[in-house]
Amino acid sequence: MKPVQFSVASKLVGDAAVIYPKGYLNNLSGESLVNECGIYIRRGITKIVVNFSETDLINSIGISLLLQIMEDLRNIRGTICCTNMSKFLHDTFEMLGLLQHMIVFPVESDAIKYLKAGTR
Amino acid sequence: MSTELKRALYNLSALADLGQETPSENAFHEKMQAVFYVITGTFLANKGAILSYDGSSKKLDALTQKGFTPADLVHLGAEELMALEKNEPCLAKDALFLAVIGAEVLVPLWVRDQFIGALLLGDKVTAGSYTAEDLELLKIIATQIAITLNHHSLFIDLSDKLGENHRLYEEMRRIYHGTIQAFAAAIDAKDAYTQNHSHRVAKYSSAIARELGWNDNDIPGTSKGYTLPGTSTTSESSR
Repeated sequence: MKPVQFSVASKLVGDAAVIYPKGYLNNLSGESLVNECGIYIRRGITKIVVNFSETDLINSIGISLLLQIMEDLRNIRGTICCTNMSKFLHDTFEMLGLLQHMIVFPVESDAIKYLKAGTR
Repeated sequence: MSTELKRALYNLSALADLGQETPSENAFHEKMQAVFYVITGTFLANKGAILSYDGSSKKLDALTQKGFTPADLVHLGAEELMALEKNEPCLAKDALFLAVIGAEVLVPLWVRDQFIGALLLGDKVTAGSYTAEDLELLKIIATQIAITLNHHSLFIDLSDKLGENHRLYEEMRRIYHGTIQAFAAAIDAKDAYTQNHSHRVAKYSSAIARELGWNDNDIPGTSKGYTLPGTSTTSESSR
């Protein structure tokens, strides 16, 4: 099976950026995920939702890139929400102790609702 | 599956990632960046650096780094690192200079008796401390990085030597053609009857060689236009 070339799409929903990584997050092409989040952070966005519906697998390189996003957000007292995670992704984050540093929702709409409620 | 087993599998997978990145055909900087991500992703380090030792300037250069400032890294003296145990992780509690720059662990990188550089890591993002298993894994990873850096250094040396050999060869070729020309000119000057004979011989030899399909590189002396009387500079050995 040919691996899916990693790519990133995004959109702004209210004051939150929703990021859609697509493919296996396992090499330097994953830097585009950090760059995409960086664009929103530089624009003053402090809430980021990463929808993992099209990313089933991640390796140590992907974890490192995710840590970078988490730290960038931590530096501006921002929030990162992760949604639509596969069991593998969820178990990996749990095993590494990363779940305490992010807010996890089953689906994207739940994360958006949560972030909207937080701004009221 | 227990957390310990999952962690062990993750560590194994990180070693596999490292094994995939180090021999890759990526440019050296990209390779080291990928290796650096593998390390920070494996140990969840908030800071880190891969430092390379330049034997001529006796200084450490950051090949890739995150979270440290150049001023932090200036505090790391190569002599100080060379005094530490080879390829053995050293924790900040055992080396105060690490605490000064905000590093948690350092591994001096060696290949046999050659100091290659150092691997530096900060605290874990998850605020946990480095376990004995982490340090064991770090030692394995550090050894691999040391070998990769050493290979790169050997490759650069070899490239430099190849360039130098090529330069010497071209110089020797130039001297050889100069000598031939000098001989030919001297012989032509001595005997008016054979004047320009060598020039004509070279010209005809080159024309024949070209007609036979030889390219200019195989026909030495074509640009010089001279050869010794009764000889041809056309290279027989290349055929």
